[in-house]
Amino acid sequence: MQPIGSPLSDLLDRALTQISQTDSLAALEQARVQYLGKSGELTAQMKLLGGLPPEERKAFGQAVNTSKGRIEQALEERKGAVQQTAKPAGPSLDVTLPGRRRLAGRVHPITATAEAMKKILLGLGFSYDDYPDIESEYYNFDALNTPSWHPARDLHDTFYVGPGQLLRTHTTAFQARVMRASSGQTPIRAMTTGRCYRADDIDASHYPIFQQLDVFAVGRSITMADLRWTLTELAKGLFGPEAQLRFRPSYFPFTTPSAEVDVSCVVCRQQGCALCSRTGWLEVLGSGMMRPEVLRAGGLDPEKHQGFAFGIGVDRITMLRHQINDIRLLYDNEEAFLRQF
Amino acid sequence: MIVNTGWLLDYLSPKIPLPDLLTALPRVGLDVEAAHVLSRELASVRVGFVRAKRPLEGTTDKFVLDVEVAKGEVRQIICASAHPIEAGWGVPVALAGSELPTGITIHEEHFHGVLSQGMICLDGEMGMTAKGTGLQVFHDEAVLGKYLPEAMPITEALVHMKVYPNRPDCLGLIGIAREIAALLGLRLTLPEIPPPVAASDAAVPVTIKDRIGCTRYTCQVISGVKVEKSAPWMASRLLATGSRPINNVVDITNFVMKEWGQPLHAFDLRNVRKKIVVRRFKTGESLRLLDARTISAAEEVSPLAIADARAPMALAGIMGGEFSGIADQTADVLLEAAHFEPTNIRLTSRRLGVSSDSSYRFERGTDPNETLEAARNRASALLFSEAGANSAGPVVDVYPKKAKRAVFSLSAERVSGYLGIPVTREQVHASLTALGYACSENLKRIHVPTRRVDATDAVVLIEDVARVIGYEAIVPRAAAETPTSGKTSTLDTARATARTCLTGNGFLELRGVPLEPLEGEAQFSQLPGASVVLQNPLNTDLARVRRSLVPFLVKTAAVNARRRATTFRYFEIDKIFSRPAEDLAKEPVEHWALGILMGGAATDADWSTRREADFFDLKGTVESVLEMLRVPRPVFEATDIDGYLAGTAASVVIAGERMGVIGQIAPDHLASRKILNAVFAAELFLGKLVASALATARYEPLPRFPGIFRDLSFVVKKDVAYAAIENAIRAAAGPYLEAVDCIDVFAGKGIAADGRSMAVSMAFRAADRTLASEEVASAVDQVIAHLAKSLGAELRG
Ligand SMILES: [Zn+2]
Repeated sequence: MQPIGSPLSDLLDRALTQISQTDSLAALEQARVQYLGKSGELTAQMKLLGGLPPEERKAFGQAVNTSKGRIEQALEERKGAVQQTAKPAGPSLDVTLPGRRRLAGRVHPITATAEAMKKILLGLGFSYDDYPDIESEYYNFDALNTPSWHPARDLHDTFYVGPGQLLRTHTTAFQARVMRASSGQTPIRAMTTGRCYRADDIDASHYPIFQQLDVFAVGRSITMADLRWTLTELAKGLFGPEAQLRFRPSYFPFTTPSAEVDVSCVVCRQQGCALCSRTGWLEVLGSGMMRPEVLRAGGLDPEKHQGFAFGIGVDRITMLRHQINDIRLLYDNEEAFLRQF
Repeated sequence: MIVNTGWLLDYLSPKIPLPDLLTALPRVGLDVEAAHVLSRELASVRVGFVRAKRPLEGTTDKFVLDVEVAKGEVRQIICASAHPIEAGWGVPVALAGSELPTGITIHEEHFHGVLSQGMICLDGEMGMTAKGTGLQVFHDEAVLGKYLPEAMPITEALVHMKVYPNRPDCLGLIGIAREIAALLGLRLTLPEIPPPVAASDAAVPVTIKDRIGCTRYTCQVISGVKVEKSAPWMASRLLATGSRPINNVVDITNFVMKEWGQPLHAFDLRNVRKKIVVRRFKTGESLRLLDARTISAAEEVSPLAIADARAPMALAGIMGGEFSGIADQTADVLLEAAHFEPTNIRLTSRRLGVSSDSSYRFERGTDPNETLEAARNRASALLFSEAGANSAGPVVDVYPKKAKRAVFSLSAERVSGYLGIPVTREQVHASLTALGYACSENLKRIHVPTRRVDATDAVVLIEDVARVIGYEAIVPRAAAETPTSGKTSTLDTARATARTCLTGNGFLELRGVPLEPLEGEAQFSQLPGASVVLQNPLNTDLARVRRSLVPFLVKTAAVNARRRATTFRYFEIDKIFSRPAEDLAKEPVEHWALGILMGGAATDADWSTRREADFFDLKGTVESVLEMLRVPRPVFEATDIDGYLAGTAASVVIAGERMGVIGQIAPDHLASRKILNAVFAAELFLGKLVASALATARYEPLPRFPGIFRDLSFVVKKDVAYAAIENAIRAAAGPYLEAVDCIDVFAGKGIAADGRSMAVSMAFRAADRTLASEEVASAVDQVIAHLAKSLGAELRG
């Protein structure tokens, strides 16, 4: 090894310092040529080797090679660093300009609400299918214990499209269809959702078209407590774990006992607000135990089977979920409305 | 039905506070639509003192009063002499602009040119039952100007409720009181009814000719009545609950109907010739009703009449005739209490368009037994006490086939197993007994009172037990039966897939209106046959079930264009409808459809290269949806459908079947709606697509050897479709052609006017080796030759 201060070690120091200060690939190349090129300084040192006494040649040769290695290494390392910092200057990018894209689409809030309910009910073992909008009087009324003379038919203002052909007034019309299709096999857990039609004049809370979700379960030992459990699960899934339910006696031709179901107000947590008319409760659905006449219409023996059923106004639940105060907004489809969900 | 709670409490003991009563009503199963608490709603009525009274000139029954309604503030009020009023009295005054709980609104009015600025309110007009004379009178000047609830205790409410069709027994206050008594453990206190006194032998014989329409007919002659105004206690009860008092005899029949739910009718005996016959109208007969309408037998089913020896006097159970009713001079009354078959009443009422409080009750079903008798006896007794009657004849009662009480057996186990909570035999027994069922101790024989027309099955008794126990006792408990996993349909899954794909592509989902106006029937519709038309539409805008989703998509674009939207990307998934032929007997057909609409900018928020969306943007969207639905690649065949711009529409065809249509909306649909952009729409049959979906994918080995790519550029005539070129390439390129892509289309400078230049890129690959360039070159030569020969393509450069 050459002592410090020798020409070789000076050269090495100078080379390393120079390399460490280069800031471009061109300057690095220049440094390489200056020290390691054909007529470079270190190459010149190597040429001195032949003029040395034989006993010094070996040590000097090793020292030159070591220096060469260190310079090469320094060049390589600096090259990486220079490439990192000194990318070719591109156009300067205004990253704050808006991204070029299509605004994300949205699912209509009625669909979103119906899908949320379907998802919960699928998890509770209810199977989904679609049923006709254009129904027979039989499935819409007669099979639901509402024969033509029944006063309850007054509750429905029905659109007719042909003899005995009507636009279903409720999705409940699917019950006998499902039971018949199962040919007496139970348990059945079924649900459907879809459009329903009633000759209501349009105002903030009425529309001649609305969407319903209907659900029923039939088995050997399905009880009203099951109904309450199922509805509780649904309400908690939809409105949050603190949702409470209240059952009130009611009347539907196709259920006995019948219950109108209220959910604790989603806005005021039962403190009383305008949405719930200061009662703390919101009317959300009708339910009950299926009438023997309905089971019979579905081909089941009411002595051996019993079941519950409930129907929900999807529009109404949608309005409650999002605190929409006018049903017409749902069907006007203004973008400013649709983009809120 | 309007219920005054003060009147209702007449039948309950002990009297419970109003809030308790109001919370009990929904538990009974009565739908309370509104509860007007009088102490709150009478806050606009104040005590005014009459300072002067003089007759209203030109009248004999009206007075002008000067009423001091607040210290030094005097208003002029004109009042009729319905109740005596003297100067110096303090009375309830409602000034113009206020509204009473009974729905009466007070306006400034002129009578004979004299201004009246308010109204002196009778108890009944304010919704209250009268305790005294029917008018609250104050003598202590200290209450001058005070609001009524501060001047006197007011504890009543008017409840508007809906009685469901299954419970006509609750169309009388006693029926409601019985339910409340059972639920709250109160005592039902029925009015005292002395047994009918047969002090005379005056009677009218009765014949029932139509034993199906009329099950029971009873009547009684009550003599010596003096027709006059009803006593305040009765008049106020009628007035408060929405009935105008007429005279004491008619009021008694109305009062008893509201009390018991049993309609009654009173004839002036002078107008009844010899006998009563319950029969159908005969041809040529007609009857002028109380409401001045005339009905006749000219109906396919002749209506049921209450006739005397000569002619019909009343439309049975619905309305009396104009000339047989009670007049001021009536002295002898024939009181009718009958039972009519509900369906007949209902059909007659509907057919003739005549209804009344009576028909409302009869058509829902009344009790032919105890209630009928109690109501008749009550009315008869009231005719003595309230209308001065002095003798009554025997009750004539024709009841050919007595209605029997239904009998059920119901075990506590059945109730428990139905409700899902433990219920004891004692609970069942006590609940049903409280509601008036006669139960054997072991519940094997439970007699249903005949007023409960709804109790046709034992499940009704279970509901009754549940109501008495309280629905809140039914605690949630999961089903004992093992649930299966819920499944959904492939269509439902496909809808979700399409929604995901389209929302991801920037489309908004719409919820349309499936009813539409009649005009423009065939527009956009791919469905053959006739439209499904509503037979009883609400209005002309909602007259037909839609047969395409596109019109609503366009309509929504217009709605948003008015809100200054210029970019439209919408879709809707719903059914479309048609009927195979005009014949109404042909069942309508429903198809699930997916409608997509696109117009305006191809991308939003684009500050550099704004481009208008065109046909191919929508086509690409459709292709993406189809790919997501895993259906085979469709072909697009030019077609013509009304509503789309001619030459822009194409059928989407898979395996020879039309799956939908795509095209540009004809501008005349848009111009009138202020839409300036080109707008494109597609409508796909979702149900058919689902049916053609491919099976679950099977893995294919990944390509191991490099592909070789060759581009070709050539000129063809303009009428040569790209699909024909691609087909020709595929036909000629041999087995190693992997893919063909169109990479450029150009017409214009340097190309013949009737031609266009097209560039395609072809990829060749073999699965088992690297292709030799000579193999590819020879394939490309074959393609060039075939394109030239079959399509006249000329290779460029
Ligand atoms: Zn609230």
